[in-house]
Amino acid sequence: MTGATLLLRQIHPHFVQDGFASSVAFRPNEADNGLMSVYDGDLKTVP
Amino acid sequence: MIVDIAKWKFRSENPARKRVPRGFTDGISLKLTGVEDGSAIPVISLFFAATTLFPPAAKSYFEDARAAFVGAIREAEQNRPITDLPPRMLGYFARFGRSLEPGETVVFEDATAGPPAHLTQETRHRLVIASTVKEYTGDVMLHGTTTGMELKDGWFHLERPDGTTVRVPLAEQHLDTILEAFNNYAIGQKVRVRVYASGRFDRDRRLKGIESVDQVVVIDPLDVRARVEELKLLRHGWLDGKGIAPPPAALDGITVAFEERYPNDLRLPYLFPTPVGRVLAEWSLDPWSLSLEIDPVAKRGDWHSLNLEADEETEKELDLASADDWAWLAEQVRTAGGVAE
Repeated sequence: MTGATLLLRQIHPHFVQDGFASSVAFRPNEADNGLMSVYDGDLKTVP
Repeated sequence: MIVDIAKWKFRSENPARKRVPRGFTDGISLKLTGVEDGSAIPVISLFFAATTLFPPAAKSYFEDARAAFVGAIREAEQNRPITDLPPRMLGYFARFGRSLEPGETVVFEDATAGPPAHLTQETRHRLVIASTVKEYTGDVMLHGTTTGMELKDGWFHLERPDGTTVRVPLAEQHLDTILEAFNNYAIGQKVRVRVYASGRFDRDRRLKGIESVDQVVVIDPLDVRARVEELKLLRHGWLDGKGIAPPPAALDGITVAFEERYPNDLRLPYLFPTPVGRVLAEWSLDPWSLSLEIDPVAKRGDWHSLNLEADEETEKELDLASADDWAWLAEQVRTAGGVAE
């Protein structure tokens, strides 16, 4: 992982409207235990 | 309706009479006599012709009918058993009041029988439930995508946000709009329409069918009313078992506020639910990121604006019941370049 690595986050469909993703999706939620869960973009690609 | 109630009153008190007396309804009329200040409350009066030929006895039946009509609405309003009218008479409410929209009220007064009675969608539904009718009609506003149409028999299919499909009569004057929406659907673009119609509902308020259509319009992709209808489908636990669903009535308040207070020439925000039961309105106006986190129950909002180039930031708590605060918000959107193209 480098400074240029993209971080990918799986988000709920309710957080997308007309192709726009809400900032709500990128706030840590209860399931994240305060540490937002993301995927390492060097290891995963967007499907 | 008042005439039929008066006839029923007469027959109830005169069981030996099969018919009401000749001229029973002569000289009776209902007139709109004024609209009171404040909130457009119609005043509907019962008139009796000033003639000595008018039978005094019939007058009392009409006054009783008015009292029973207002009394039944009052009982429904107070959620009490409805005793002022029999179930078969309450069937009139299956059509009466069908144009009432959420938040609208018609006030009926009968000074001889108690305080004013308020007919709303809720009280009307209680009256219908207490009647013998199985279905009732009412105005309905539907949103959705046109997924199919049949010109020969004149109907189109409207897929609603909950995934259900309604068959809607297609009138000639709506053909162009529906055809445009359907053609867009055919090439993968979900153009949504709003349909103003008269619908049939069962006693559980489930829409059973559409009787007629008044108007069909293509709506903005970010139409607030349509988006709020989607948000109203949320249930508690919507976010992976967590996630609070905002109360539907409070969400309706967001629709009303935007429709009444937000200028038409400004771009509409995206609307999203938050895990704590709020609604986040977001405007993407490069280089600005604007947001308003709305507490729909408290009618308050946390405003945040960020200029990503200049790194300028503003925060403010807004009272969303205040016209001044909405004007302030609109000015922020306008200044950030949020005028619709």
